[in-house]
Amino acid sequence: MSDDFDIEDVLRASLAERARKAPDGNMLAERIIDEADHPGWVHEPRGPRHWRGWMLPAVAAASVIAVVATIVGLVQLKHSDKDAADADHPRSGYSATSSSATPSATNSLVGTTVVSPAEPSPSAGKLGGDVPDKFRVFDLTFVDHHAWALGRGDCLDGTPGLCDAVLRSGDDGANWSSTPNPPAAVTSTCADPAADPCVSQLRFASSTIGYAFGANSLYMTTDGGYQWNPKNQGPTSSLEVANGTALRVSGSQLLTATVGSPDWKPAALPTPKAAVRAPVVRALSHAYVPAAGGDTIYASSDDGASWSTQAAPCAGSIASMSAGADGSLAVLCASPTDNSTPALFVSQNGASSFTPWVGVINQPNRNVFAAANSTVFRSGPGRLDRSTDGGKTWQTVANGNADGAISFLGFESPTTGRWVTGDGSTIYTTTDAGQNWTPHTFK
Amino acid sequence: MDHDAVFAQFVREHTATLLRSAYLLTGNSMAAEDLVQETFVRLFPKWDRVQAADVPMAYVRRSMVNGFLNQRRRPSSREIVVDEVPERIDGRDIGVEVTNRDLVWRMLTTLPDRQRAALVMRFFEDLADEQIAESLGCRLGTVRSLISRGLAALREQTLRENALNNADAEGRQA
Repeated sequence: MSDDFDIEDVLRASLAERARKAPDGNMLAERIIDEADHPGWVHEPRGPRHWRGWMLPAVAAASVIAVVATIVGLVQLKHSDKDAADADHPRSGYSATSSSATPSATNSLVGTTVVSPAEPSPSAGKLGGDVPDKFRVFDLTFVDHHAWALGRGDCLDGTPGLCDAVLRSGDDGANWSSTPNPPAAVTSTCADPAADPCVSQLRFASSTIGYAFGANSLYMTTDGGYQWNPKNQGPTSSLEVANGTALRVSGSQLLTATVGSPDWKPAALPTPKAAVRAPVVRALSHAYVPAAGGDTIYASSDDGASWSTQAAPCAGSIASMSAGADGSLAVLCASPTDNSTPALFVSQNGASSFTPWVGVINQPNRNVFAAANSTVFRSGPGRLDRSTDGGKTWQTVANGNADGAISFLGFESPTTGRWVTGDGSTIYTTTDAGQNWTPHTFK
Repeated sequence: MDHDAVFAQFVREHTATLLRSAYLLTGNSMAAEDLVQETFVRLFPKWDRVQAADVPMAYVRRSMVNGFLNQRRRPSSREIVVDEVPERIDGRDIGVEVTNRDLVWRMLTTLPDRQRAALVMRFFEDLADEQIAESLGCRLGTVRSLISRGLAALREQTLRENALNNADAEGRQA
């Protein structure tokens, strides 16, 4: 910056630019209106607690009072069906048997799916809760400047062990607070369709509509995660949302629905009810899903309204697929495994044709992620690499047991992306297509 | 229209605007949402008074700015929460314009609260000195002084930061 710059112009531009990062006011407005309907409306601010020395005696005294009050309260409330239901659906970071959970005051569901007042609340939590210590991310979803992280951490009520938690950020992941849990156990892998319902993944289509799912479950929220509809919409091994439509792989079927709607229909694949398998991947208006046999890829360029059949580039099966934020498709083949045959192919034309990337061979536990057709990341045990020259050279983004392994990598645009360390403790964010990364570590 | 309906209509119409200003004052989304919500909580019981004001939005904005300043006066609220880690910018990979704006934004977060509030109202909300004075509850001269000193501090800090970055860049080249 030269010495003769106009500070007023720069300040004006800076403020205008920053203001665009402010959260969407619609949801807050509805929350304010909704909560104003409740007698004795008092807002509990969020944010970190600041413990001071003088507070400790006060907290101790309050704890004694709270214990007495809890004993009295439990005697009075032990026959309360509602409280029993609340205890079945603990707030983030609290054990299922906790008596400290308080019912949510929120009842402002919007959209097509509304929790009936007669049904138990799917969560006893409320927004703005503390972030559990040692929170570890299982899955992550960003939309606009909002983010949600699914994981587990130390129980906030002091119960030994780990508790499920969903965290939310309204500022691109800089600050987080806990929100109510989906109505199923949170696990890092939820792949057994026969097991009790569990969730291991999250996807949000907007600041209000989101999905939590696993191999045997799909739950939806239409108010940003304040409440989750307890109705399980069935097995979901993969789900992606974009441009107002949701696509999901359920069993061997590809289903589609309008975002926020519980009405899922079979996608209009070239062969009716053709068997597919996870993952379904999407970017811009493009969507791709592999056929169950692995030799075919179904491709759509209109958000899943119509599909074409394209030959997969692999001689054998597909190991992994990812869509770049520019709509390109990267396919990693599971075979062959000799050292000379490329295993990574990238398509820029809707999977009509693929370009092999040199120097990428299949190795166990490898995965690839495309930020765009020109930028691809390769992960493996203990390392993450990036290439921008068709695979000729790879720059190491991270390596080592602590940081090198990754549990999540995704790009919201060709330049903005996130990856989560293998232990789930740190979210790295890039805004320059992966050249530089900024960490956010959960303590 | 009854009291609640009028309140709801106002909230729907103006929350987004207030939230943007609150975001610029507080520096992060959650604190901004809290500030807006606390303002409405405070004003809801006396909404008739807000309606009776010449410019209801000015009344609400004044209340919000006061809430921000009062909150920051509390000892426990001295921590400045910003969206991004205040590390020095490496200008090699980022456009000059973006760098400049980012630098000025980060410098803004270090200014005293009243200076910051005055600058946000002048250069984001485009309010006149009189309106800023009303919002801050001070005299016109004080507003002009806050803005003048705020701009001078921003300029000085930005130039200093820029000089450090240049020195770093020259060191790398050497």
